Amino acid sequence: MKKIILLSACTFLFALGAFAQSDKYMGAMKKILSTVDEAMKDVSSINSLADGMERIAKAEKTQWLPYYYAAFFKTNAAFRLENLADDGDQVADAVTRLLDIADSLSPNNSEISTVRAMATTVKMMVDPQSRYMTIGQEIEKNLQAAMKQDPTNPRPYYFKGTSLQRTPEFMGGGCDAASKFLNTAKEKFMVAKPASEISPNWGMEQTIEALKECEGK
Amino acid sequence: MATSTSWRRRTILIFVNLLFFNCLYAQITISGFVKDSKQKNVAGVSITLVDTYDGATSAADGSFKFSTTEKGKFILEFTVSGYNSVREEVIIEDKDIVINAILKEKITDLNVVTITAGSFEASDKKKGTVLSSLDIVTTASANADISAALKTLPGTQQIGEAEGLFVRGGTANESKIFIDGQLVNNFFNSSVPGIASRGRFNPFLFKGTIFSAGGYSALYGQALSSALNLESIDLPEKTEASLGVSVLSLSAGIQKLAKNKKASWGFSYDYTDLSLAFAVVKQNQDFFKTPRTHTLDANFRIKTKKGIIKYYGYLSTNSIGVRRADIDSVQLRNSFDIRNLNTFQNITWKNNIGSGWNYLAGLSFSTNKDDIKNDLINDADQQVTTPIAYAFKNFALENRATYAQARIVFEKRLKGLNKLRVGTEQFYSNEDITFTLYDGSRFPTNVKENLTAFFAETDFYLSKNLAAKIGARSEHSGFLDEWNIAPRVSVAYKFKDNSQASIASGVFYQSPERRYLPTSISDIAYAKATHYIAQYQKFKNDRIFRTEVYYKDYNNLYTIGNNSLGNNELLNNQGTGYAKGIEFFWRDKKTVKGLDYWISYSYIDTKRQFLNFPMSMTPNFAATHTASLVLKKFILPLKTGFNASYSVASGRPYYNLQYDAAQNKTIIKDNGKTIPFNNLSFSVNYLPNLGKTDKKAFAVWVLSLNNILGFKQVYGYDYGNINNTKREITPPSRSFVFLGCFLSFGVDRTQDAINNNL
Repeated sequence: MKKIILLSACTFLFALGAFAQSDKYMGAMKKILSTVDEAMKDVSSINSLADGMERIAKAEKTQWLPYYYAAFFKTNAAFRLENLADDGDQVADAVTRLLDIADSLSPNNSEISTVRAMATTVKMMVDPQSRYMTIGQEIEKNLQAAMKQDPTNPRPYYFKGTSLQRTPEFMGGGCDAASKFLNTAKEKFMVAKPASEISPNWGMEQTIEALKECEGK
Repeated sequence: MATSTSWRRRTILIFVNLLFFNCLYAQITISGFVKDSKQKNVAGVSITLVDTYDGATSAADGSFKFSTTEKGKFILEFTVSGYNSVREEVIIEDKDIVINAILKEKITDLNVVTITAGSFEASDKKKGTVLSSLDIVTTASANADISAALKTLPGTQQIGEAEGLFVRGGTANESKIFIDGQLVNNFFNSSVPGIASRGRFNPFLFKGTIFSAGGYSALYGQALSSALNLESIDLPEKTEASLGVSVLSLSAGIQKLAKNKKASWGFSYDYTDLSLAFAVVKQNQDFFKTPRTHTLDANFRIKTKKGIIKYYGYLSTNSIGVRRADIDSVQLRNSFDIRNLNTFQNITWKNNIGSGWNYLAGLSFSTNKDDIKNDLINDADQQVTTPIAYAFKNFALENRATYAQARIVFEKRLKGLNKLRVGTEQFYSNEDITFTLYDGSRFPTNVKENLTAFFAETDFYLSKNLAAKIGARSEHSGFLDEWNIAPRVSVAYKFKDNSQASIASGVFYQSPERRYLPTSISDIAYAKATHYIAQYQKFKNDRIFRTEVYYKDYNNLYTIGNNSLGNNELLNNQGTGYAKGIEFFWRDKKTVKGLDYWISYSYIDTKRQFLNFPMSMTPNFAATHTASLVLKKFILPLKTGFNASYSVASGRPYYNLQYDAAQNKTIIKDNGKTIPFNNLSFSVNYLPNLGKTDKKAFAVWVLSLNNILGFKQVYGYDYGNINNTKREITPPSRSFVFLGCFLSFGVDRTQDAINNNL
């Protein structure tokens, strides 16, 4: 009897442990994601988010999401760098390495392609004048891939929209060009449902804000 | 029974408690500081307890702190970009752990000192280069000619009467031009005496330019003064057709990129005819055959598993006929007619062969054929052959040359950024020149050369801030039947404020120019130059300042005298000379928003005794002071770039050197200094389709105005052979206007696809 109880207790605890493992992953991911709004205020705390995600990525090894988020946060930090011209290439290369791993774990992923387009934008911003013609095309290629891989994903449309918003009108940018994409993004956000609690779920607020900015003009 | 149950319960409870205690409550804190080898705090370091989620990022003061519930032996890893990662073993038991780490800064291409003494690098890819390829095209005075753009950099002379780069007191022949390491023997179009011709190659063929005004690498030789290495582009971004129409030329081309983006091919054709331009802009000379050039080129590029194969082939014919008043007579004219056929083919293979080794192998073959006819003619365009002094003005010259080069350079990546390069190259040339006198007597000469070179070089980083490039080159000339050995050294040191100082020194050898060969004199050796260069450079926030001082010592320069035909022939190589100077370069893209400008200034003091110079004197191709100001501003709302450049140089010396039979030596019959050189040029690039991504064609309009204020430019003087008449050497026209439209048709439909998705 004793033996049986002990055995079942062990089995139970073992199962609990296994459950706890994936629970631990979800918990750790959620914990970082819950601090995003707070952390987005400055470069160093965004980078801490990226570091946290990278730790989970390396411990888990088979999950694409932490690699994706590490890349996403690093890219966001890069956009806020004052000396983007000096450090942008290095950051973009590091992000690309993370995305390559994410891509191998989850090929043809629209979310990964979107962040790749963002990282490529960082690379272009290092020297926009001479890189616009070549790297500009690479950005488009990644966005196009993202849109094709998951037509319901609003984020590539959001990113394309905000990029256009910041592009001068005579360069084909401006609010008119941007709102077409931002409105498409908004429609898609309305019906989009994240696959899980930790799946990418950003961009809706920013889209609405960008649209508001354009209306104000 | 009850006791037994309660005992059992208690056991399980303890067991579970113990488990929970272990899992949840036994948190251990790991904290510490991260510093670099100079005891400075390092922020932003990611600290990871490997294979767990636990860790932290170091704060601004280098401190970190995190808690973990793990137990046992773990690796704690410290990573941050720019430093080598550190891994420390920790044993987590029941006590908090304090652990400090010292990170060593990583030596990467980005943060190390770079060896720059003597050289200017232009590239699209590398950050921190002085000029980009686009800069070459948008320099107002350059008209998209590579060497003309380089003339706005310090060290170069504003020479307009002959093509080529005259660098730091050297002749154009002392500057050699390479494409992917392969020597280009006839980089410039064949020209008429007194008029500089353009380079043959389109600047868009190249992604990078390294212009070295001295002290350059052991990988290059046979140039006493300067080496210009042009790096050809890799695969094009997309399939594209192009069309160009200008007042000077018509061109069309296609570049096809394979679907798998692993290969591409392309060709282009260009027809240049200056008739239209000469009809509008009056020329000082009478061009009875206006310059016409047909150029056909073809290329293919194949990305291999671990490298790239590139082929470039070029074929061009051009003809020019020009008449001008004969210098020795009132009513006669001199007629000069040249036809040229030039081919150049180059194939290179860059390949990575593993364990840190790669090689660049190249094979090139080129031919050049010039048919020159010079006549003295009267009003009826008939040849004049009397008296005998006039007769010698009627001659023909046929040049036939074949060149080949095979080259291989192996590079080994050593620890850190250290590198070792070894290589060899073989040059072959066969040059026939036939001189035909007025009476039809022919004087053919042939010179063959086989030159073998071996070279080795190492990039050696003593630390992140101190690097050296040490190399040597050895050559054997079959023609001279002599070996040489040329050591080259440069050292660079980076200061705390990221500015850097470099010094360079090297020995450079060169064989005699073909036009003074063959010679009846035996025992001719290499001409030799020794360079000493010191440089200081500061590069920060889109601003660059650099200054260089140099001393150049020339030995064994070639001297010439008249042979029995009255032509120049090599006499000996005991000529000597020196050049010393100081140069400044300042470029600023930051101070005025949207305005990019650079200023260069060169001072030179040089004297030499060579060719027919009767004594050591400042050569006629060296102006003491040269300065350039280049301005560029792109006004986005207008989609237009405005470029201006102003170059100024002090007057150059000129000499009338004539052989005096009575004294049996060359004497200076006249000399002086030309007026200073001034040139203000302006160009506009208009890109109407900029930003319109739905357009099928992308157009660039170019308008350029050379010497817009019509400054008088005198490059020197010609002297009559018979009566010492003196005549200015000036450009064919004071000013020049160029207008053109260049279209490219992309075959990429990326944009359409995105827009259709909306």
